[in-house]
Amino acid sequence: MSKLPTNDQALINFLKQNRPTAPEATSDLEERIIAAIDTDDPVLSESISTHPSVATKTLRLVSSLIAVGLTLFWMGYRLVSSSSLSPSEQSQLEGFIESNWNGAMEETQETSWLTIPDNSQD
Amino acid sequence: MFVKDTTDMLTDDDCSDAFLVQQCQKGDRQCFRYLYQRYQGKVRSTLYQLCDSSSLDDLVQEVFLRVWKGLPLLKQPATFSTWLYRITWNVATDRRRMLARHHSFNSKLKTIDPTGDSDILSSGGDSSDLMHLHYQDLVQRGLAHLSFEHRTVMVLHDLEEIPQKEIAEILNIPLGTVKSRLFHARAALRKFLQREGVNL
Repeated sequence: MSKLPTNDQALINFLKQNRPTAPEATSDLEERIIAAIDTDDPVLSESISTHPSVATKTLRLVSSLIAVGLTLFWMGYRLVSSSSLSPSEQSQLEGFIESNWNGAMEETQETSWLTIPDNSQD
Repeated sequence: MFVKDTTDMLTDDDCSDAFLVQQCQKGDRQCFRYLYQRYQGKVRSTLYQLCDSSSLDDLVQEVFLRVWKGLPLLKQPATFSTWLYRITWNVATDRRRMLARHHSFNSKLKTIDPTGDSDILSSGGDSSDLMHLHYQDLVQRGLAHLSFEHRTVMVLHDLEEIPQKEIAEILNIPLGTVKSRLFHARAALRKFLQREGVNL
């Protein structure tokens, strides 16, 4: 091992002599840890980081988006499928449109809105 | 049970790390207790230098819970101490990130006691005790003054006496980076101490 420069050694000695000492552990810390591994309590391991991780948040967001998308797709599908008409309803609708179309094209003098007859003269 | 009978007769000093790890991997909690007793001081000290002291017990607990959960995955029991320091560093890093979301760690340390005078003045004692307290405060503030990367390398190498090659494995960085960080960390700390009137 290479020999340290004198000033580095002096610095290291100073650090070691004056390093801040960590406060003593609480008397039951060892038992708490052993108890935690005995029960394998996930709550204890999560006691420090109470906030969900970024991956968890992303997973939740993606799940929510998929759920919303599926719901919207289902609702749209229901709407479209319920609006389709049966053959009898279709023929009724065609007849209605045709009669209205003919009525509009075969407009008579009496029915023209531009020349509405004055009923008061009758 | 054979394992229990064997380990009950042993003290933690009799067993190598590798043996204790192997017993733990078989589910022996007594051996885990030995590992805890052997390393909790080092883990505690390292965490204290890298993090604040407000939740030191919680951090130590987190380290050993992660160790217990990860032990089945440890393929080389002989490298336990390196692996343990890596977990310790991970916990310290997580803690630092969590604190950074709320406040700057360094500014928090400074606002607790910018000069350390309160400790010194209230402690009483003779002048050598006062000087020791003063120097302890200087070292603490000097370490807090460093970046987290520089502080980590300095604490592991100069205080915990871990070889540079092992630090490179713990931090998963090249050996040259360890040397470089150590050089700059020492220079920065020496400069800080000089500003405070300590010439080394």
